[in-house]
Amino acid sequence: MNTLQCRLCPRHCLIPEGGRGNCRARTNIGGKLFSLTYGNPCSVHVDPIEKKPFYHVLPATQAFSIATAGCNLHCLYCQNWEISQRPPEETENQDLMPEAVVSNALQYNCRSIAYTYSDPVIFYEYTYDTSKIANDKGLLNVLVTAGYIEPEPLSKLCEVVQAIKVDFKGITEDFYKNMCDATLKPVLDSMITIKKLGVWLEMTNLIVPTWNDSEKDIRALCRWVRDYIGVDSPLHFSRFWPMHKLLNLPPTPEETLTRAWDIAKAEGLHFAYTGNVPEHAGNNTYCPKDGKLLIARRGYDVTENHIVNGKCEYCGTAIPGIWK
Amino acid sequence: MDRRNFLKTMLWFAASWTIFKWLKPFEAPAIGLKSDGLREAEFYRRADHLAG
Repeated sequence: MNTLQCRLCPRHCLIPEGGRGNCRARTNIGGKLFSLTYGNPCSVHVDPIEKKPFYHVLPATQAFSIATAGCNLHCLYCQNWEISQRPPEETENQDLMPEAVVSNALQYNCRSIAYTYSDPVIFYEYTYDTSKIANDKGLLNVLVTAGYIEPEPLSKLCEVVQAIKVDFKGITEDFYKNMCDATLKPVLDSMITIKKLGVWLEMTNLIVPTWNDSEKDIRALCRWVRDYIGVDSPLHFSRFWPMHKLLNLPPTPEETLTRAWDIAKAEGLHFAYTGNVPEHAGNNTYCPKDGKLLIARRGYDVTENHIVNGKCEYCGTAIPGIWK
Repeated sequence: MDRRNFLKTMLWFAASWTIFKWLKPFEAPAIGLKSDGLREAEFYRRADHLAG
């Protein structure tokens, strides 16, 4: 009686009266489905946008970053598990309605609002409403998401956000099943949809020793990006650190990240990056035409920027991204 | 235990039970009923026909 089926993400949870979705953040009250976290973020920070990471969106600016409790994935390595794998009644939440998010972002001189840390899919309504207000105030909206969302809500969200970074976790169904308790295909479909709708897309692949660090997997992932998304969408290779339920593995060797970076370039990707590796050349942006250094980064800091009006300062090649 | 101590003990239990039952000092906050936390979702449907 009064059972509902959530249609926000591919899990299609059946939720009885009083029950919760798999994400822990949706509930059935009287035959209606409610988000439990609207206006109640448990994480609120001002971060450099490079931290997300977005390397081709408003470099050297601040992103007002929010998240609520819950998540529709359960990744063994989640670095934000203390909020993502908890229901909202177990986190310390603030009252911060959409209007207040926007006014705070402006007050802290942020150029964008980032919906991040857990996953904006599960605080969908809060993300959507805040994004609409932010647009009116000239702020950019950027999502950091696993991309595990149905096409219809994704398409609607793409009307109000300008940039999405998808965690492209692996290239096999087995990886998604065993690491994340999810499936791969909806994530692939989401990235294609985002690209088709003209929203700026960047991707991150976290390389986990023994799980997805083989040359075969990395090459297959790079080829998929090249063939279905295009060579101009940035792909970040990130370094795994022991976390949550994967404390038994070592950090990803730097050599593995360098190898992935080399494979991506060999497969034709113009903007491949390495993350969590200090002083690596993969932190920087290079012109795909003349190879000149365009943006130098040290950690999250931009130390040089030679992109002028969206073009290489030296040869005039257009560099894709959102630069203003 | 003599009669006086027995009555004191029973009185203590009765008082404790009253406090926990009626005052509920340690009851967890009602889940999800902060009015500013709830918002009706858009993407869902009725599914009694799918329920087991």
